[in-house]
Amino acid sequence: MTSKPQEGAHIKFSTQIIKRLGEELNPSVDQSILELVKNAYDADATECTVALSNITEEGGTIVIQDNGDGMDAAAIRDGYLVLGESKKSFDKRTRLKRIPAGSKGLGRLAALRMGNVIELNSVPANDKKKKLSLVIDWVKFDRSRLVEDVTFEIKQEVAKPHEAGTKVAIKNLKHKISERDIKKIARGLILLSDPFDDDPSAFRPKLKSAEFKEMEQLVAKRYFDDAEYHLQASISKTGIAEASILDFKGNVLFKASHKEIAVKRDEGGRYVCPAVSFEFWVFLLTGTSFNTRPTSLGEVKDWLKEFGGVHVYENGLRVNPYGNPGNDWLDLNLARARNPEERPSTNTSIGVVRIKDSQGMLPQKTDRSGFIENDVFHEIKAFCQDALEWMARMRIEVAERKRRARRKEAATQSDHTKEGVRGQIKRLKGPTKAKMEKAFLSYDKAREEEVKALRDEVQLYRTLSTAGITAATFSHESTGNPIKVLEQATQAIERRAKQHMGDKVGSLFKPIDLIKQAIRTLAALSQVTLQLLSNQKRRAAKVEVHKVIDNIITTLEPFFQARGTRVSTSFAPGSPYLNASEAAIESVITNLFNNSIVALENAGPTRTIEVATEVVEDTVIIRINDNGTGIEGITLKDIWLPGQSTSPNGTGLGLAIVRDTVADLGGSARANRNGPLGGAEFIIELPIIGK
Amino acid sequence: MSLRIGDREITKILVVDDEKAGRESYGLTVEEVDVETILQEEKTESVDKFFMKLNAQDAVVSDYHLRRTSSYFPMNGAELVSGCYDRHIPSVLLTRYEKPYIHEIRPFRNKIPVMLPPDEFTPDTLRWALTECVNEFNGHVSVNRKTWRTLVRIDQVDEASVLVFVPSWNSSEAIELRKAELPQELLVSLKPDLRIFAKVNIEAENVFELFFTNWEF
Repeated sequence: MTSKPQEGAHIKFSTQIIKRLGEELNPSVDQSILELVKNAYDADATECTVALSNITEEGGTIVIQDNGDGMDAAAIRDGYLVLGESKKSFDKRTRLKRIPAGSKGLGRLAALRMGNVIELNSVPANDKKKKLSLVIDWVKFDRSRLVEDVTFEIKQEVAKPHEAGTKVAIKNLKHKISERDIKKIARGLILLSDPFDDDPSAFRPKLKSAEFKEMEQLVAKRYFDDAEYHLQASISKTGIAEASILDFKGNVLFKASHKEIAVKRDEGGRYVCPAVSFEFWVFLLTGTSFNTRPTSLGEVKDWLKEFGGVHVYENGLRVNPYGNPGNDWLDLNLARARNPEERPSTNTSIGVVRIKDSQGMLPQKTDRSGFIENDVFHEIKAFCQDALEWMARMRIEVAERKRRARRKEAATQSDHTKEGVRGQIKRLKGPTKAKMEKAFLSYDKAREEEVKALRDEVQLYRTLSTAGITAATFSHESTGNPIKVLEQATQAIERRAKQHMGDKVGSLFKPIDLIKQAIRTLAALSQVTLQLLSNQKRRAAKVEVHKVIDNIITTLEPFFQARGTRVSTSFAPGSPYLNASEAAIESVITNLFNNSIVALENAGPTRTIEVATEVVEDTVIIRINDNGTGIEGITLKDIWLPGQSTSPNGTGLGLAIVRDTVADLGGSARANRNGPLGGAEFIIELPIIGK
Repeated sequence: MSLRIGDREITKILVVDDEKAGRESYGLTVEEVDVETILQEEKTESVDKFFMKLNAQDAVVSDYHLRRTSSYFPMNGAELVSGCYDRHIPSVLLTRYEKPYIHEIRPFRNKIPVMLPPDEFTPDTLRWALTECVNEFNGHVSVNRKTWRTLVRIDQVDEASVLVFVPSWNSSEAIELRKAELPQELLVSLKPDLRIFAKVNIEAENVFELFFTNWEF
């Protein structure tokens, strides 16, 4: 007995499934928008604009407009509206030879679900006079039971002449979009199509917002030249790796063959993955390394903060989340923590991995949270890490070589002592030994750092000395010759004019006076350098403070005059003196005067510097005040640090020299933001031996 | 064309400077005092030969720097002027008062009647300077160049120099003398607080004008 055949049965989808798939799969706004932008990329768009309006509250609108090849009715019906079917076919290229980023349509669903109403307009590439439009009202789904119960109408009208491509408007947004989201959208759009490659014809989607412009400018800065090392590594189609390390000028420092990179692999086996290139830039973010560059440390830090990390581009489009803030997929920070020497962190490096995958060997997860971590992915990751390891080995080798050279230079007393201490520790027993070893190790590290800081400082002083020596040579030359010639010739002109020109001579007085004035200034300026550099001043002797101050004021008089600055002194009775080098006192006072001259640069017409001294027991207190605007934009503690300057042309060394010199003299230096004259006040106390 | 200075008739002034532009610019001033101006263009290898060319109708105007341009002159301007002094040829040393050179000039300072900074070198000061020289040759030394036997106190002795005080000149200003400025015999006995006699022009207006002779040891 057979039963009567029944009607055919189907699995049907409840409208609830739309919600499941759309909302729960891909919750982030930026990734959703990027999905729609990738559709534009697949449609061969060269431009794509994302505009946001009224998004600070619920109910706002997102419009994504591109100039790509639009869809006809069939493409909308059988492509755009079909969910879960991948259009990706790897042997196909688009008209512009792009490998389609494609999607299973689920990403698109998530994006479209952000609003309650979707308006799609498309001008078909094969018939540009038509414009097709479709409205999806999600509310209809809420009212129906099954997905197929809801029908849409594709309308057709005449396209206006300027209309092209596809425009998607997501209206009546369910959530507001925060500032942070906007920043993420901007970052996502900028990074989407490899901005590091500097290809002007590349796909460059845009967001209409101020944040985007700022970020776009930032990404365009491309501070790659400020990197200390540049790693270029690649795997060929056949799985053979090679790598080189370049310096900032692009010169190759090291080169590695597959064998040297793949040391960890059994018998140097090949990498089983599509062709990959890996570029990586390491920055030394220290004040001293940026001293001599046009870019500031801060700029580069900001740029790295925004765009640092190792980004992955598959067939030209970025794959989220590799290289996002907080994403450290190559475990750079872990490697650094284990072995801090010569290892970059995600904050001090930027990298790009470019994968050409025309075989679809690297599928992405449906929720767009990266690649499915299959063998191919692990191979690529292993290659990148191997290349980084090789780079670290090379850098350690360089550092080691430098250290060896330094050690060779001088087997110093301290090295001997160190060995002595180590020997003593070795003889210890039990837990004390380990503790001592650890304590000594951290002491030794601290000392090394101190030595490094000192060495850097010495280099800085050497640079400045060279500048000083050059200035001195120039001064000798100019006082010796050109100035003398100018003086003689001008005087001769004046005398002869008086003799021969009769009444008309008056017309020459003014120009001659001007020349004479200029010569006097020149002569005085070159004298300043010479007097500062006089070598006998560097010897310790009895130095009378008042006399030194008076001399400096006389020497600097032309500077003060040129700047319209009046200098007055009010000295304590007597003549306090100390046993020191005149140069030391002079550099303290001169640097403070220079400081005031700069501080008064933009001050009003009456510019005043006051120097006062006071003797309290065995100490002379020198106060230097000006009527500038005082110390601004820097903490009082920081003004004494080398390299800190609030003036764009400052070396930031003047006050550091003052501090060091005063300390050497056994005195102290302090500052007030605003002294009695309104401007900065510097107070120097020096021990004296007589008054 | 001649210039009368006291009992002298000067017909020719020689301008010495190791730089051509320097010679020519000094020449502009010299040519305005009615004498023949000769710029010393050729290099001088032997000082004796140079002096041999000069006679009593000549005068010399010299810059301090003569050796920067290679082998222009075998000595500096101070030595040249003092050599002229020994031969009673009026001469003026032109130099800015620069500290580094004070030690090289001072040993010859007693034979340099007038030192002028270039910006003060004019036809008038040139005439005056030549007059000062001729006066000194005739035994009339100006008050601030007249030397007196006086006490010199050694204050500090360093490797290359000593600090001294000349109380009769200025009891509070230390004067730095290079050891090379002192007679060899004196160097062995130098020590702080040693007091010795020397002849010093104690009316000198400043330390640049000051000179020491006739050390007693």
